[in-house]
Amino acid sequence: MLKNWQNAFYNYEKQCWGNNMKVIIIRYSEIHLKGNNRDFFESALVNNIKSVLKDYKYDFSRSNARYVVRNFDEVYLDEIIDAIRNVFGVHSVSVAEEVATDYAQISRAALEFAPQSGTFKVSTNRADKRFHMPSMKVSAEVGGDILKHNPELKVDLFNPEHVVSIDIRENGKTFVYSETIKAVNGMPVGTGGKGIVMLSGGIDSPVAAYMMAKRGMSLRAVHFHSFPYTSMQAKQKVLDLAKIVKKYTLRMTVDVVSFTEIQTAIHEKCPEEYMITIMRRFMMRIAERIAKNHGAGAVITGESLGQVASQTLESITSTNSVATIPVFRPLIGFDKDEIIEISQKIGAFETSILPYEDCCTIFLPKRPVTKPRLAQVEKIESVLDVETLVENALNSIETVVID
Amino acid sequence: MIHYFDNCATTRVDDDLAELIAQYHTTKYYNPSARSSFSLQIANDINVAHEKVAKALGVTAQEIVFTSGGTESNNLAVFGSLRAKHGNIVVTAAEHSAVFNTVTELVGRGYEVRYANVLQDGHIDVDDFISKVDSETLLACFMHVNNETGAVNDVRKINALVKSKNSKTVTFSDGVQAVGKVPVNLRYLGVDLYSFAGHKIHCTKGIGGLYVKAGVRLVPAVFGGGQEKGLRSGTEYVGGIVALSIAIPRAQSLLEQNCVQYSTYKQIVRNALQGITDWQENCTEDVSPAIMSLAFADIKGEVLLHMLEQYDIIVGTGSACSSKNKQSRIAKAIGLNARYTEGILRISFSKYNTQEEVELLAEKLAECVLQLRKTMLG
Repeated sequence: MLKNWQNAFYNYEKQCWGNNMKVIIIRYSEIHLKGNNRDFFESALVNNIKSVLKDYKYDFSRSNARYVVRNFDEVYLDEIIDAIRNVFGVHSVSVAEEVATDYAQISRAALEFAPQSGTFKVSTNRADKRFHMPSMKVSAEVGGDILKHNPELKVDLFNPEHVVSIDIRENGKTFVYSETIKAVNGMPVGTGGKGIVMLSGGIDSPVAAYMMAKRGMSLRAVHFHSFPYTSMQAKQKVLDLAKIVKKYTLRMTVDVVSFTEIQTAIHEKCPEEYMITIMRRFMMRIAERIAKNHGAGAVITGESLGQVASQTLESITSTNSVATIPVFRPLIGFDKDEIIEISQKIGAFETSILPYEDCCTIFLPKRPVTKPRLAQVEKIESVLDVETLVENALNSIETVVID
Repeated sequence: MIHYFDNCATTRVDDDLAELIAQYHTTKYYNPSARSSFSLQIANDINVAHEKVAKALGVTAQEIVFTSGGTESNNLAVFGSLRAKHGNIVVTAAEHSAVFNTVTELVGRGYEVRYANVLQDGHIDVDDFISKVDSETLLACFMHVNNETGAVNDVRKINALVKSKNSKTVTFSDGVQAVGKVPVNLRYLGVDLYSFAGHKIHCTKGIGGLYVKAGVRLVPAVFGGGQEKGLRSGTEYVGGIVALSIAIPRAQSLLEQNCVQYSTYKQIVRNALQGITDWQENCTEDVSPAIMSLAFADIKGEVLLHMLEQYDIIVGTGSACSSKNKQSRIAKAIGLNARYTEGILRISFSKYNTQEEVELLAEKLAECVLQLRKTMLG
């Protein structure tokens, strides 16, 4: 749906109030470091920004190491800003007024962006050297105009509370703005390879997905579901979390693996205390197979060292030993509090804490082994027909594309 | 075909009632408060509905207020009856969330809330309840039929005891699981306020009512056009109201027949479970015929529920309305042995259940319990 229902109204307003319209300036981060790869990074970033704006009507253009969004419906300004500033690779955004490069117009716009109180300075960048005033002079005169209008203000060139920026472009237009809104930074999703994230339904895994997306990784998720031991609500919760994560990863597909057969087989044939260790080895094998099937080069987990029995160095060693591709654990050095903080920031926390059991909480041994020895684990596991169980699980996959 | 045994959560709407409700959406859709004679007709339908419901419950039409359902009725009863700024409210620990959380909300508003114990089978511990009532008690809440165990409380007795201790205390009973499922005569029970809901008795969701005894004054929670004697403003859900006025007497007319039928059903389930150890029926005396609450040791009721689901059999665990909380408040309140607390399964019957269905349920239930015990315990 295009959110342009108010256009008629908006055009009418424009006629009444003149032709100066708001534009959004988008600055990007790190990308400029990438030399030859710059085009690759930029096109990913542009695609990503466009994908979060797909429900809006707007014009998009590139202007010298930044992007400009024009002609959008101003009633959606806040939503558009929010969408853009959550795209990885965006460094900051500013809402500017675009005026003709003409001193009177620049000064008028600057007055609109001037603070009500406190200290300020005017900062001018003149890319268009044809404009008759040097940048220092523009700053000084506009600063004077602002002071005349509001004598309460004070100029502070070194440590001002507010900066009114004037950007004189080469195309005969000038941007005037004040606030710079910080964005999420990171790298554009799609520039950091592809990974499979294990999404359990808890607090950690969506945060792990977020962290990897921040470094530009495209993600696909795998979820292990143990119906009837876990409920359909538990699965729905994971799909809901995937939808939240998708806000940052931009695309998201979840492979729901039926894990019941494997769990009951382990439960039946292996000592109770090794349940989780062996379960996690199966999960890792399946995740890796899915990764290979979809051209992904890494598996991502939400493990944090020592958080639970399955996340001790020894347990991680046991799990890791079945993997042949890199396993990323972006939360490994995080405290639970720190993870929760990010979870809340990305809007996943409320969903993560819904009380539906995931497959890790059933058949939970009373005393799980905390320091499994690999050789021992392998010996215990050898009673299982690992290959058939993995194959069956892979055949059980239900693929859900999150839209 | 789905075999539905979760009739405490909600019931299927009778076909003729669904059709009747639809008529009020498509042909008799006039606003009952408007001035045309068509509207007057609709207003009359509402009046007749008041009378029918009142008659079915043994009271007068003026004492019935239609609401959007049990939760709204309970909120209106609790918040509406508190006229004094200070005092205490006595409530049982086994109340439905729609009462329990409403009353708990009062703590934050400066009232003292006293929680009375329940007995092992879910019945209210009457002595404990009455001992908590004193001269400062503004409101006493005691549910009629417990939605999880099916325990039927002696509302008449509790009401009389409360009133004899403090005649000014407003008495409120949640009758959502009682109306149409056990005999209800509100004059006989004697309470001041009594709530009920349509969707538990084959009427639609979105309609319910509150009985407000003549002389008991309530403060409305919703203001507006002054419908329902000013207690519940808002254009009436006419179709629901009319359907409810049919559903209540209809359910009551089947009470005796159902009671016999359901007790056979319960026996079928018991027989099937005979070969199984470590299970119990949570309430067997003074219990709603429609509710059978079971607890199995060492297994999770929810897993059992999902296993039965695979045979198109739907049962309940605790209360559907509080299944978002991890552990059943009721399991705790009735002091269930730790091995049993997670293994609660609630079977609740309706007139649509057949004996064949119950036999299937009983057979599969026994099968699943055995299978699950085998898997879980090895």
